[in-house]
Amino acid sequence: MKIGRKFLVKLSLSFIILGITVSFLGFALSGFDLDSYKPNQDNWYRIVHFD
Amino acid sequence: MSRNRIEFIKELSNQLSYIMKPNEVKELVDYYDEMILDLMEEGLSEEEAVSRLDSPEKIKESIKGTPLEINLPISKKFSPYLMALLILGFPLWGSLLLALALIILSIYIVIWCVPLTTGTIGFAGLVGGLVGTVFSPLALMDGFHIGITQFGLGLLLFGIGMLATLFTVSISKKVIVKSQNLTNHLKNQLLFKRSEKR
Repeated sequence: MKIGRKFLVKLSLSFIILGITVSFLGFALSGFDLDSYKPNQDNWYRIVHFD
Repeated sequence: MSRNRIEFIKELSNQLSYIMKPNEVKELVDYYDEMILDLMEEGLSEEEAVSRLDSPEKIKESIKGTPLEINLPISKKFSPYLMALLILGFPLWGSLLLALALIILSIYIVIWCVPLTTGTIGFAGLVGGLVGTVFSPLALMDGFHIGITQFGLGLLLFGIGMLATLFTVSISKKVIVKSQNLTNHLKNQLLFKRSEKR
């Protein structure tokens, strides 16, 4: 399969759409509660921070 | 009549060899070859790029009698008065020269700031996305929803990074061509115009 520019653009757009969907799903699982992300949020492996 | 690049180069070398030295012919042929390649990089086909240029016959006619090397007479004696004037006038011409150099530098910075910005976004997105996705299983230990959100945000960042990187690659090619054109233009304006006037 030839990996061209168009394929890479489609792949990155798919990542963006999938990312938005999955993160929304995660946020929905929290009950749309920002405070539920606060415990241990300074751990080195966490990229989700709410100040 | 449409020619391809090789035919054009052969014809041009042939035409120029009657009126110029071999090293001058090579210089000019290289220059025109580079111009064709630049046009092809901008998206034109080989024939279209060649047709944009003058025909080899026209080029030959326009070059006839124009020496490529201009030997300027350099005075062996350098007047001490002129030297003193140059040193005393340095605050004036030095600052003007510096201002000109900085203006030229700022033009290059402005041209390059778009790919630099998108490149930075691309790099940060790719690295951040990769880190976020890879470490999302650890975030799962803090809470299922935290892990899922981090995984999703990692994918999102990675996608944005990929898109920004692709954009940077495509825009960089155009910016390189623009920078080359600007450099050639400035070179012609600042160096060759002055020697033409003499």
